[in-house]
Amino acid sequence: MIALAVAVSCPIWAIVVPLVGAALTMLWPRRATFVGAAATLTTLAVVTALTARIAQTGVQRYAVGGWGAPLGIDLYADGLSAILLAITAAVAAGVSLYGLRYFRAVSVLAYFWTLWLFVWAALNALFLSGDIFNLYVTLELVGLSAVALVALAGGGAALTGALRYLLVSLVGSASYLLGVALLYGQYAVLDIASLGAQVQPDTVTWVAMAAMFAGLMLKTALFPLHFWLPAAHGAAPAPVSAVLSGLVVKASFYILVRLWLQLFPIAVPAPGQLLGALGAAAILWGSIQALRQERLKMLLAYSTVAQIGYLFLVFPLADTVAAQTAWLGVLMFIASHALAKSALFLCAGNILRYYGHDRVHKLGGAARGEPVTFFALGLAGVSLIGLPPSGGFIAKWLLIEAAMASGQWWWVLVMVTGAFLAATYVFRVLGDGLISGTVSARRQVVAPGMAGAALLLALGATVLGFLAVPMDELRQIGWPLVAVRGGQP
Amino acid sequence: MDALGLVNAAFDLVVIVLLPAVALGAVMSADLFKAIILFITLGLLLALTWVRLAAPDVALAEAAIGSGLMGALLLSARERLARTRPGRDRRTSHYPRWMTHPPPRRSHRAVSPWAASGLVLIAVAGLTAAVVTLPHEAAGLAPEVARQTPQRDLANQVTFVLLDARGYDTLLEIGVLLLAVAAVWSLGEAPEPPQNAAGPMLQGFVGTVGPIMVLVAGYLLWAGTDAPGGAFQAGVMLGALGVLLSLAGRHPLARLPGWALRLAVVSGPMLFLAVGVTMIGLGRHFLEYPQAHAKALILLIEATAMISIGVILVSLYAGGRPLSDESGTRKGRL
Repeated sequence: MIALAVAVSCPIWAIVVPLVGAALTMLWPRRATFVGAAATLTTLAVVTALTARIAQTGVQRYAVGGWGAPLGIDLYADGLSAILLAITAAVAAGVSLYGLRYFRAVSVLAYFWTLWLFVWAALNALFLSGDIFNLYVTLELVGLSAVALVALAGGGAALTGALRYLLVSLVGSASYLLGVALLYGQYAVLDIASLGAQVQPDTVTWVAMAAMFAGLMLKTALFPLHFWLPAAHGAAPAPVSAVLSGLVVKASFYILVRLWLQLFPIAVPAPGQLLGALGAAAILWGSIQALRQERLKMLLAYSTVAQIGYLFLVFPLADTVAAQTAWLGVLMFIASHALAKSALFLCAGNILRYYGHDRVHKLGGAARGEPVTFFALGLAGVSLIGLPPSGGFIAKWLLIEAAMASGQWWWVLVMVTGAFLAATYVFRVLGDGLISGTVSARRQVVAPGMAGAALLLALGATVLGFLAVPMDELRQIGWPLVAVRGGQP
Repeated sequence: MDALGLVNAAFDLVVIVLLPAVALGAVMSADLFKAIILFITLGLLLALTWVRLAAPDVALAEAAIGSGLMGALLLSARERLARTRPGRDRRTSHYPRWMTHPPPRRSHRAVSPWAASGLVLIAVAGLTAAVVTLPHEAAGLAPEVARQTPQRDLANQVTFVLLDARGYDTLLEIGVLLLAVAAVWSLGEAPEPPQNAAGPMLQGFVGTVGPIMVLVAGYLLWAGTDAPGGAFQAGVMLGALGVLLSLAGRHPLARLPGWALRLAVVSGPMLFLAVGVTMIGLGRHFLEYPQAHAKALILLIEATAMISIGVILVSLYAGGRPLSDESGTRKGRL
């Protein structure tokens, strides 16, 4: 039994299992739902085993092909990887449950499972990669499968959004790859840990870092590079929007964090302040745009633009006394936004199914017509605004605390303003739903599984508020460079 | 020796001048057909450049994929654009209008040309500064690769890196190809191929060259362990044959039943995964081949990958899911 648990917790399974699932759904499209559900459950099991293993025995390093760095590729799983894997698994459970009932055409259903399992495999591979070139490959896999998922909606808007997303995604990856090539030219090694031990603050390294950061910022849709996001996230099928906003933009952010923590040769304040300023601009601009949207899905997409801004506020705080608080805050933020935003997009899918439209000012009576969905909408909205008790509350609290402790009070102003704006656009949706308006005739039944999936994710975002301590314990496992960067003034 | 050096220098000079000129021409050309032809030319020039940089494997791949197959895909896309007349079937067509229209001459500019030029200048300046300071004769990991390759009974270091040392990357790259097919199939059914019968020239050409191409693919695969070549190049050769057959009106995949086609597409990545997992079963790491069987396993993986790659490329060229695929035509409810 113990031997089995150890065997199953090997990091490679988190990649192989969904990949095999994707290939099997392609081979056997008529049984795609069965294969997809089986692959989902198995992947959840192996990711749970892996996370538990990391929590118990610490950092895992796995030499794929048996070669080991520098010749081969190492998988590397520390606490940071474990947190991202766990978040992905949680959102994946909700999305898979939703996907069971959402798609109606058999052909679309089969391709949804293939592409979605591909995204999941690629995300797991990305969070487990210890090699900057392998990260590029996983980044490409994530990007391409996400693009294909957007196009699954069919129709002009989705195809246009998907094609623009494809071009942006390729430019972003190419820019990242340029940086990888420069780093390999300079240091002759691709393994992140070995690179981290060698990096020097010279021209090549800074140019490489600039290229990689620019590409990843484009992929994360940081203001003003967010132009592609609303079209893609707004036009995609609901479960796909949930994956894109909840997980995919976080993947490129995760690489940014890795690069920042492990490859930046010296601590310099200027890039951090610049990233923070862009993040602040994203919060304000995205929130205002969200307020102006007619359609719920577009509102949520612009809200994602705003919420991505919060993630980047960690960089100006990362080299101060409050670094540890700020990092925990941002990880909490990633988790709560992943759960809350995916829940909200699933709710939007239900509303779209129920009403036949998702125009925000015509949702009157939604609370009575779709009570479970509406409850999930409210719950996830609470976390999005950052009201207690929720993961979003703890995340914003920690970030504000870090900003105060490091004397950078201006970020607090931005965050508070962002929370007010978020409250305004969330209540704009909720308010109309609570008013007992007339429900239009075109009503369709939403499957219980679809409402339940949204509710589960929203509950997850709420429960997260009580999980800050275990998350911090997990985070500290193998936390990079604690002694050098994180702490003393 | 001196004369040869002079010839090489002159050759390099021609390539250096032509590369940016052809690239610019491809980007600036208002005529789509001209742009595609220039793009194909660019691919060939790049292949020559790789030869001059002593990277024959990359040159082969660039010529086959970057120039040959990309060219075929672009030309067929252009033909499809021309066939979809504007305004017709707007309700059922799920392509956005600008895709079915001929591209407008003056499109809306989202970014000012000055800002774009500024960004490009900054990027060029940064890259120049970086490249100038890069170490000149950096060996990278090459000595280590050269030391390990012969122990695997391989002579081609590229194959060693791609299939053995970094086989995991290659597995994921083949996954990208599989993903591409899934994406194209998810978009809709393949368009009815044009009915105009191919001329006797093309028919005769395919008949003559087809068997030779199969032979070359087999050679590239077999020789790939010791000389430039391998699954990707061999697969592209098969793919090119498939494209030629399609052009000649003999659609090679149309006769396959849906399950056989899907099996052919999936078998490459599946076998790769299966070999990897088998190694775990034998108490080794994922994809850690035993010393004695490394070469055989690599050949097995490459042979299956070759077939998958070939079929995948022809499927991509067909531009949609096959009409014979039952899962596509049955639009039932769950």
